[in-house]
Amino acid sequence: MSLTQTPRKLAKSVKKERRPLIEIQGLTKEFDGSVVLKGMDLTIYENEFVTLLGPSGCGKTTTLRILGGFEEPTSGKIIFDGKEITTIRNYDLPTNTVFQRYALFPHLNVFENIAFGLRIKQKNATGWRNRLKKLLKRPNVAVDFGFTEEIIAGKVKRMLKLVNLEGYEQRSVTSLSGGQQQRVAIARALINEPKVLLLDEPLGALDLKLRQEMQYELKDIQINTGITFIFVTHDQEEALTMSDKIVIMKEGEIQQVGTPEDVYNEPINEYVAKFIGESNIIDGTMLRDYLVSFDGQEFECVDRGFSDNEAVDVVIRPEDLDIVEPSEGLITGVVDSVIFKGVHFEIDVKTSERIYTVHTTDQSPEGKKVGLRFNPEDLHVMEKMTYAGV
Amino acid sequence: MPEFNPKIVPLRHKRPHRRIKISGFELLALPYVTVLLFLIFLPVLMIALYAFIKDSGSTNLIIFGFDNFIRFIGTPENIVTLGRSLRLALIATIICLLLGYPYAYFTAGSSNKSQRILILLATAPMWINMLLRVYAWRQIFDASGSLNAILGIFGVPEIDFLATEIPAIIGMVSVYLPFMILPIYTILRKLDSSLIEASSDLGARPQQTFWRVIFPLSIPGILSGITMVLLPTATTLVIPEYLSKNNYALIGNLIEMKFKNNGDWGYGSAISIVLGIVIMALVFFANRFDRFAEVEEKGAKR
Repeated sequence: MSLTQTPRKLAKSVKKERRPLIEIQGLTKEFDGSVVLKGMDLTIYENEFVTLLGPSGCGKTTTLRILGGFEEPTSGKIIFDGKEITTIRNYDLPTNTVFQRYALFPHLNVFENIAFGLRIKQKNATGWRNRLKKLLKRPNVAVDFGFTEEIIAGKVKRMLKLVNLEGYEQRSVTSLSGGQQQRVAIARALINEPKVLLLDEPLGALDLKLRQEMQYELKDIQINTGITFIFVTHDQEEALTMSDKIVIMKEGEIQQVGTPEDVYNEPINEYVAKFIGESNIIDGTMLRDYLVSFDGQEFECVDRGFSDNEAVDVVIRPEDLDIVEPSEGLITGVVDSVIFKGVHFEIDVKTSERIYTVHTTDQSPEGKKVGLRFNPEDLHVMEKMTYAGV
Repeated sequence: MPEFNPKIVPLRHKRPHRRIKISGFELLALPYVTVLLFLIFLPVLMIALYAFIKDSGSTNLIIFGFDNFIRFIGTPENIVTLGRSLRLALIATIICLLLGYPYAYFTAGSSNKSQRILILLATAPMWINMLLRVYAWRQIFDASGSLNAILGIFGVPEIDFLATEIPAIIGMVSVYLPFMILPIYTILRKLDSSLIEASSDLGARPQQTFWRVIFPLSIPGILSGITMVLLPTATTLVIPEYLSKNNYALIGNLIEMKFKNNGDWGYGSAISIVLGIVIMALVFFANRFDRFAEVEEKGAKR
């Protein structure tokens, strides 16, 4: 494992200068005997947009629910801002959650939904326990008992502006569209000024166009508010678009942590490569540093740190392959099928060894003899996976 | 031949068209419409007719008038009985709510297996004939009954419980409690647990979550529970008959008496109608509190 990581690890340690906000240490969770999380370690920094990415059942939602205080871990620790919060109840946590199905209160209008958290704070501040406590401390000083109605109205108004729902205060939440409900849910969570916002597949129920719009809006909100976002999704495109850091999970274990560029261009194993986008994954042998062999040929590459003649997986992204004249290609083959995908064509090229998938904007007729070209940096060499199935 | 066709074709065209309209899916409503017509609409119409018929002294002459109503309102005892009926019904309903809500809440929050057992326990008394249960209560509260026997051990002198309202209220609660539990339980069970999590996530303690989210959202269940307890307790006949002495007769007994003993159908019908209107007003009043029902309807329309 460490061998493949050497160059990247160095690069990342330079970036890590921000303050850690959340440290997850050895987090394990069992449900009725089945292990959902297997000793997860992760550090999340201030103002980061972190995405937990993986298929359903990989433990990403469980992680989020533990962070939100909805579940208690079987073992392991969560350290928040230097304090351990593992067993603190969710109503005392400085986190807020945007739920998958929004979970807006149907008996309250938009204003009251967003003001919910503030009203609770107001109530707690003006409650008799708090009054008594303050009175005993400083009997002669008039104390401020939380938010006035004007402050609440002002804050709600600001939140509605942030999520582009100005003028919707009195609307019933059940009369809103999915996208609008989503915005209310975000506003309701953000009004409490949490240090961390947890988002559980919040865009899953929206249609494609709206989902893409909301991706940019969420990113904007995160940048504007400076709040750490922890976002759970199974959609790799969502993860790549918004995240500062992607955590790819599988069966309760972290596979890779890195920037979107990192995980896309330098997937650590076949699983990550396949999950994060379409790929040509080829069995190869690392002859020595910067030289890999596959399909019976030797190619220059930019990877190093493997043992000589180690068996490896080589990833070539479809968009990194160019179709050229047979004489100019590094590999030659025949166009097997052409599918129009809108922005690009997906062309399968059959060589003597395998079929390569190519994404290109230029069409080639089926049956044509072509060459395939790529640059040394387009080859991503990964350690072979040892477990069965993907 | 060509001359016949144009005449036959339009006829055939029309008929199946009309028939499809009636005989399709709507046919399924026929049993309900029949029941509605013969068991609800016609009887109510008959009661209304009787109520407005004036005693003309002759069977051949029918005169309509408000006599029966005037007679009812003009008799203070009747108003007192009506008031007592409504008061006892309200007390029983409130006790049912106070007992039933926690039970429903606790049930809805337990595991599936416990839920089944708890609902079974709540509804089990309904399997036993109501008359039998009421009579059992009478055995307990009777002057020579078991309660007095037990109290007698401690030297308490014999108490005539049946002269008080307590046995009737206890009887009403014991008979109609399941009708309060079931609708509340149903609505609490349907409640989206993510709403509770959301409330907690926003800082609400469990108690605050209950009063700000769970309770307001369970109001429709409470209202149907209230309706289902208030209506039968206000009109109950058997319970006061067995569980109170005559001086605590309720409106149901009054109606029965008019029909059975006096043969005064018109007067009995008038009392029924007054009672019906008062209960309808109560239910209408209760539903005004249900702001959420409106919201839910709006949501359902989308």
